[in-house]
Formats: sequence, structure tokens, C-alpha cells
Amino acid sequence: MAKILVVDDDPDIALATKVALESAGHEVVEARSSREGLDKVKQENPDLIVLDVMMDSATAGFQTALALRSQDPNSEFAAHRETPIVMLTSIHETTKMRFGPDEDYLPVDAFVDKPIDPAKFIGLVNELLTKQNV
Amino acid sequence: MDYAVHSEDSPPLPQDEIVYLQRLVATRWVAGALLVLATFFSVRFLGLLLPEFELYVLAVIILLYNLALAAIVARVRRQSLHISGLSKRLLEFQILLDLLSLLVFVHFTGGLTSPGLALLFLHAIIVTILVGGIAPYMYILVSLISVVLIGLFESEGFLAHFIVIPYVSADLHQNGLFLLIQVGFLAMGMLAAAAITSSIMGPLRQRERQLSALFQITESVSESLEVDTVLGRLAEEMSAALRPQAVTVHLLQLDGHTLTRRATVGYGFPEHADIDNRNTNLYNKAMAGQIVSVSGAEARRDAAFAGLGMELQHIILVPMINDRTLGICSVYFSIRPDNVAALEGFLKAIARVGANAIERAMVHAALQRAEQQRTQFVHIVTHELRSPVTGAQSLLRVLTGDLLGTLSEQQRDILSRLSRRMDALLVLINDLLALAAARARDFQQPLQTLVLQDTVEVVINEYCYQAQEKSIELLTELDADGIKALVTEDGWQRIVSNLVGNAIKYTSEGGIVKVKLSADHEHISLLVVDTGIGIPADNIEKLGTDFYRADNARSSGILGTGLGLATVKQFVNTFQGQMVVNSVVGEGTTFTISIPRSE
Repeated sequence: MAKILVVDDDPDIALATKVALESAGHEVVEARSSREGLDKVKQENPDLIVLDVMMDSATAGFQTALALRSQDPNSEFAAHRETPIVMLTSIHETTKMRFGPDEDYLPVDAFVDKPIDPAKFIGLVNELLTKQNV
Repeated sequence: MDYAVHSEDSPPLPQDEIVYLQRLVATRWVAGALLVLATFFSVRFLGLLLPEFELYVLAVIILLYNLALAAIVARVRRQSLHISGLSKRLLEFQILLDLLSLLVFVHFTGGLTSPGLALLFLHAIIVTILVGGIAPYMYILVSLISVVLIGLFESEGFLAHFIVIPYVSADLHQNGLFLLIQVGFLAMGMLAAAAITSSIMGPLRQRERQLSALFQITESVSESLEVDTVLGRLAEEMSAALRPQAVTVHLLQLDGHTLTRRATVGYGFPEHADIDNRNTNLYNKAMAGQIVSVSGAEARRDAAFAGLGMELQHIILVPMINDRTLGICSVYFSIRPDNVAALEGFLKAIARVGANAIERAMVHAALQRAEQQRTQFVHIVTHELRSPVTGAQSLLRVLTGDLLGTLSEQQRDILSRLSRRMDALLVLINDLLALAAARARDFQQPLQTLVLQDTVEVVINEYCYQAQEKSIELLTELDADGIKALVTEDGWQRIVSNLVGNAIKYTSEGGIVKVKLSADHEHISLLVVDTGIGIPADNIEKLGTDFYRADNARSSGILGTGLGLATVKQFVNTFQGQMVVNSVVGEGTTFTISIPRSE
């Protein structure tokens, strides 16, 4: 039973994710944009964050993840730096996207392809949450 | 001074110099040989009283120093030595040596009574051809003085006199009048020869330099496909060739009457001055296709040239024409050129070359823009197509996963059908995107040298499960370990994946799919063999066309978009490979892909 923040501008994907997570017994908070998502992270202090890769722009998701993972000790998200992040993507082939000028690594914990397969998704989320608690 | 490419005094081009030197050497072999033969013939058969021995010695000396010169020239040529002035010095040296040989020859064949004096005319012509400017006249002066001295010395007895032609009066060479007449004619003849030759050589050299400059300009502007680079180079090369005060290049804008300055060499121009050719007479005329040449005063009256901060004597406006006038090259002179007509001809040729190169660059730019727009469009469209489908699909799965309550059988059935339709739609969208990406250069990864076998192994692993589900035996024979080819990771993976996927898809339960990778000296070959439904013979050549599926595939009930092979074909082409299909309906199919090795 964890609090999970879902950040996605597509209401259908958000709903599907929410239903899946709630059926696994988790509490779900939603945000419709990366800005709202970052605010909610601070407000709600979630145990795990689900982020869509493309929101207002092609790289909104990655930019949000970068902000959350910032190594700057004075970052406003310092407290949430270790929160697991799951990224929802619709790019299932190997085309790599450049999501930031200097980053060579992906600051997220897992990628999930859309459309969501509820069973697999729940399994992945639970796994990440368990790892976190250890 | 002509303005068509340097003055006549400047040295000829390096390649020319070598050729001249070689020709001189060649001519001298002939001369030396002729000397020997002529002497022999004259003495034995004509009975002339020639100093045989001395002439043979002279011939040998000529041949010897020619040998030395031939060696030097060969060395210069081999090492491409372009030491400034080296060739010129070599040339002058040879001319002097030859003059000396000629004078010696003349002396031994009778001095001023020698029929060999005529050879001096010949040499005067040769010298004028080889060397420009005032040098030939200096040469003539030197040779005349030498001849006079020979005549005088022989006459006074300081030098021996050889009577060569029998029956000629023995003391003719002492006759003052005779000497005067001979020298007089010699002088007139040599001067005339030099003058005539030089009047021919002048324009000839000018043409040669113009041609060379034109060639240089063509090469320089044709190298680039960027409009700005082409314009810049055009202006620079024109400036280098003509040495004017300045050069500008204006291009016509889309509105049809504004000329924007795009390249400049030289100073004195106001910043960013666009010209409206409706307001200026001269530019208007030029844009109509005429080359316009005006002197300073007239030019300064025209609106376009008002306020130019330089002393202009002459301006030439050259339109650059392909099938339409693209723009204007303006050349500004601070000294009025001599032969304006010839210069205009030369400029027209340059403008033609310039127009061609500019047009090419413009077309290239337009093409790139169009492609970029197309790929952006495709990318946006497919993304926009995917989003509703993935949204809908995600919600459907939530329902069919019983996450919102158990469904009745019928409810589950209908939702499953919806889900399947969504799946098919998504597959189609993904295939379309993949195909479009394969065709769009902007989307491509750069080609890399990759070990092909590694990807094949990964793909085989991915399909193991699917093959097992259908009880298909998936065999492999991979004999190309470590062998590389120039491909893209994504493209090669797609080729293998598509072919293996198809093989499994179209083979029924209990069949066999074999994947073979081998290599010879030049190619790597991938064979995917199956025992599936096969392809009718007359369908084979249409494989790879967008959305094409073989007749039996279409009626088999097996799902397919008809885009997979089109994608494979596209990538095979990009990798400079070949695809061959062999099949028997009802028995199976073999796809063979061969790609050139990269080492």
C-alpha cells in the first residue's frame, strides 16, 4: 500500500494507470502536466512516480525526471531524489531520443511501453516499491 | 594593360612552362641530328666546303647539353618543382645557349655569307612564342650585335672565314656594302617576325589564361551545394582573375524586383543595400539579360551606385542566366579596361558557370527543406495516430483484466475483439512509421560498422518463445562470427526481425524455420528458410511493394500489413545489399539477403 503519483496529460492513460494501481491496493494522486507534477511531488511526497515521456513537449517527461534527480544539494526536489520513477513511452523501437544536452544516462528506474498491460505494470511497480523499502 | 587576367609580363602557368621546356628539348634533338645529317649530305653529295669536323663537334656539343637539359626538365617535372622563376630562368638559359650554338653555326658556315642566317629568323619567332613582353626584342638586339661582330671580325681577319658556297666571291665577306645589306635585312626580318608573332601570341596567351581561370572558377563554385558558399567563391574567384577594385553578387528575391547583395569582395559598399531594379536603369537592363558596361560618370548618375565610396572608372554588370536571370555580378574597376568586348565575353562565360552552380545549390536547399517537412509531418501524424490508440487500448485492457469487476462471457468477447482491432491498428501505425523512417534520410542513424551475427542471435532469442508456441523447430547455423558490415543497428535488426517473424508467421504447426548466416570474401549472407505456405512465382517480383501481400497470404487469414518486406527492401538498398527470394507454394520459402563486408 503506497502513494503513487501519476503524471500524464492523456486522461485515458491516466485513468487506466489509476484503475490498475488502485486494484493493487495503492493510493493514486494525479497530475496533468509536468509543472503540476513537480508541484504535487512536493505536496504529496509520493513513494513512486509514474511519468509520461511526452506531455507538453516531446521531452517533457525526461526534463521532469532530470529535475527530480538533480544532484544539486540545494534543489527543491532534494528530498525526492531517490523516489523511483517509471516512464511511460510509446516509442517501442530502438530509436534513441536525445532528452538532454549532456546526459548520457537515463535517470529513471524503468520504462513501460504504452498501451499498458495492467498485470505486468503492477508487477513492475510492486517490485520497485519493494526494492525501495529494503 | 589588358584586364583579362594578369599582364603579358607575368609568367605562364606552371604546366605550360614544363611543356615548353620539353618541346625545346625535343626540337633540339632534331636540330642536332639534322645538323649532322645536313653536314654529311652537303659535304659528300653537294660538294660544299664545310668545316666538317667543327660542325660535327658542334652537333655533339648541342646533343650533350640537350641531354643535360632533358635530365633537368625530367627532374623538375617528376618532383613538380614550382620554384617561382625557376622555369623562366631555365628557359632563358636555353635560349642563350641556343643563340650561341646558332652563332657558332653561322660562323662555321660562312658568317654573313651563310645561308644559315635564315635560322635566326626562325629562332626569333621561337623566342617570341616562348617569352612575352620586351624580352624578344632584347634577344634580337643581342643577336644582331653578335652577328655584326662576327661579320666584322671575319672581315678584319680576327676570325677565320669559311667559304661554304663555291663560286661565291672569296672576299664577299669583306665587302662593306654586302655586310650592311645582310645585317639590314636580318634586322628587319627578325623585328618583323617578332612583331607579328607577338601580335598573335598576345591574344592567344590571354585566351589561355581566361580558359584556365574559367576552369578554376568552375571547379571552385561547383564544389559546394550551399548557396552562400557558392556566391562567396564566385565573387572571390572573379576578383582573383580580374583584379578589379571590387566585385559584388546580387540575387533576385522572390518578389521579382528586389536584388539583395549576397557576396562582396572589396570595400566601399554601404551595409545591406537592397536594390529595387525598377528604380535603377542599369540594373533593370542587366536583369533583362543584357551585359551592361558603363564608365564612371554615367554609373555615378544611376541610383544604384550613388554613394559608393570609391573612385570608379568603369563598371560592368553581368546577368547570371540559367533559364531565368538569377541575379547580377557587378565588377568595379578603378582603371578603365582596354579590351572591354573581350572582357565582356569572358565575364559572360563566368556568369554562366556561376548561374549553374547557384541553381544547383538552390535546388539542393529546396530538396532538403521539402524532405525535412515531410519527415516532420510523418512523425507528427504517426504520433498523433498512436496516442488515441494506446489510450483506448490501455483502458480496454483494464476491463478485460477484470480490474473493474468480472465480465460476462459476451462482454469479454466483445472487448477482446475491440482490443484485437486496436492491436492491428497499432501494428499498422508502427509499420508505417518504420517504413517512413527507413526512407527519410533525416531519421536515419549514421551507418556504422557492426558485427552482424550478434543482432541475429538476439533476434533468434526473441522469437524462440513464439516458435515454441507453434511447435516450430527454430534452427540456426551462424558461421559469421565477428564479421562486420556497414549498416545501422536499427535497420539490420529490422531486417532480421521481419524475415524471421514472417517465416514463423507463415509456417504452420510442426514446421521448420532455419536461419543461416555465412560469409565469403566480399559479402555476408543471411538465409531465412521456412517450410511455410510459400509464395506463388508470379508474386515474387512484387514483394516489397508497399502494402503488397501475396495472394495466398492474403487469403490465409494470417494478419499482415504488407509493409514489413517494404521496410526490409528499403534497408537492404541503403546497405548496398541484395535480396533474393526463392519459393515453392505449399513447400516453403527462402529469403537470401547479402550485404557487402566492411573489411
